[in-house]
Amino acid sequence: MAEEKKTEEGQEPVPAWQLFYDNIFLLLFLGIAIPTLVYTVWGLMEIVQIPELPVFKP
Amino acid sequence: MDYRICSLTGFKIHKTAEDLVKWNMVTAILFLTLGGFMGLLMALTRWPSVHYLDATHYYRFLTLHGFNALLLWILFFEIGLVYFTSAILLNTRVVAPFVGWIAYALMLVGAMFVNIVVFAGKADVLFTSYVPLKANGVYYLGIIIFAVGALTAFGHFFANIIQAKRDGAYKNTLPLGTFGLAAASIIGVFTLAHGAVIMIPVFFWSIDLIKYIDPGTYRLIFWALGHASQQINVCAMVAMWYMSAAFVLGANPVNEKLSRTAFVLYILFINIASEHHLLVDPIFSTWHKVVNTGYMMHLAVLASMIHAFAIPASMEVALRKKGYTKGLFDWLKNAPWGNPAFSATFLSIIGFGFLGGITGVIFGTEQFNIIRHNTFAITGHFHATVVSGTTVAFMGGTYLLIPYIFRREIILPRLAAFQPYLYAIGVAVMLIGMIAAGSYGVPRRHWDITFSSAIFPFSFDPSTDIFLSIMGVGGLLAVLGGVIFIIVSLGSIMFGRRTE
Amino acid sequence: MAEEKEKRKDKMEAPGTFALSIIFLVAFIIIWFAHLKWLIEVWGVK
Repeated sequence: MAEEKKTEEGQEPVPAWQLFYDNIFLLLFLGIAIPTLVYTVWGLMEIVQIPELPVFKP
Repeated sequence: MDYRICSLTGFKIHKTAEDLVKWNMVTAILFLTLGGFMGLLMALTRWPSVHYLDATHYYRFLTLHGFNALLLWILFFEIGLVYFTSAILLNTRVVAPFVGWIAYALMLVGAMFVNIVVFAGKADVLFTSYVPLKANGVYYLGIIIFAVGALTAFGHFFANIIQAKRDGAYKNTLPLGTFGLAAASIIGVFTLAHGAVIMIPVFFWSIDLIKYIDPGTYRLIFWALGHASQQINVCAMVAMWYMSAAFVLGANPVNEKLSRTAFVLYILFINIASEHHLLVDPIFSTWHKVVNTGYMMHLAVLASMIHAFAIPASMEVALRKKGYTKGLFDWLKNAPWGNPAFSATFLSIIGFGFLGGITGVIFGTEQFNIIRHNTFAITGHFHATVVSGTTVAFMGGTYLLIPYIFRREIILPRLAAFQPYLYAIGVAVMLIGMIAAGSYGVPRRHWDITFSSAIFPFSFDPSTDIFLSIMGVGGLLAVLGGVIFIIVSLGSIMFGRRTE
Repeated sequence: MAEEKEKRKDKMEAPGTFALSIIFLVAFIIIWFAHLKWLIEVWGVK
């Protein structure tokens, strides 16, 4: 079903993209870091920049 | 370590892995039953000529429908897939089995807390529980416990694949099905981390330990939990498509690099699509909205388009190898349409892609969203993705896993063959009714669209009645299909003839 | 490996799926413009 490519020693160098995709923990880091920065952190920065209404006291 | 060799596939199956898959799958189906029953009540209430429930119970059962159908059925099934792909598919074992059981117990306890407190009438806050709506503290506590359980299981996935590599189960590259669930687990970590960040303060607010939760912040972070959890579903569903094609037809991906690239695009860019829930919020700048939904989201959409063509292409190649080479469509005509695992996969691809995906991308643009926000069209969109897409795919997956994992034959095979068609077509009719009604402005989550007790009268165009009736009829067909699925799946698990 | 790549270069492996994608693309464009026409003529959308 899955990977047919079995590279023998010294036969074919593993492509760089394959090395990147194989690194699950790098993907885990990027998959959390990128959306957290672009969506969450940026969103929070925008919320914080809105001035509070002087009338409302929580 | 107990292992057995599967007589159908040759996989070496670890006993704990198998048990965890079984328990999670059966639990998923039981919550689908509850969620589906609530869905029936929803359809009968939004159908104007029936209008079955009263207002209080409508909102209460809508909360339950959302929670059981969208969160519980799907996440329990996905955790089953986590163990299937991180242990069984790799011919290896589950690390520290007790962790799997703790995760399951936490998820179940959290699920029961939420269901009980909502049934008791203490949390009519709908699935999104927007502050300042305040539910009983047990509601939030239940969600937190459930989320911790799911996070534990996703963490367990990573532990399993690390150990599998050490055991030599794979050299460097995971099989594609496992890779898809790895993408799902990565998104799961993002999702549940955000869930903890928002639900824990909201829990303290519900017991009056915190004075105030800003609704804008809540929405931003809630939807990182809320929508990203749907992206877990997308990855798991797509992985299920590849696995079904492989198991049923012996299909290989036509281009592994392309398919994996598509999963990586999901990992990097799909979560920011959560922004589309915030498109009409005045707080966020147009930049935030357009970059997240306009630029980045379409990279994830590109990934979906890759999968949408790669999987049928892989099916075609596999069928051509089997000898169906006449003309352009001989392979399509001779595909195993009578095999519910196959037909469910194909129907799911069409439903998710054409109905769900297209409406999603359209409604997710800022200009269009303002017209469709909070209308029934949104409900139609997400029923297309989650029901005609993910749920149908998981139903197909169940038909595969019952012989493999439960080692039972499917009972009532003619009914089982018919079930995916009935369900998918019923859901499609239902959601077309929803989208049409929503195009006229019919709101979602609204018990009385005649505004009978409002000061200012308003009535929708009379054709909305037709569309809502179409929705009702489609809903009934879908429920019938769902009932057949429950009977066939649970019946096969309990009474099906053993295969070995 | 090299001859396999050579063979694959001339032969489309999934012509049926390619044909389906063209059919769906054309159908989508037709339905899209038809529904716009309907919105404008029947509903007066500008």
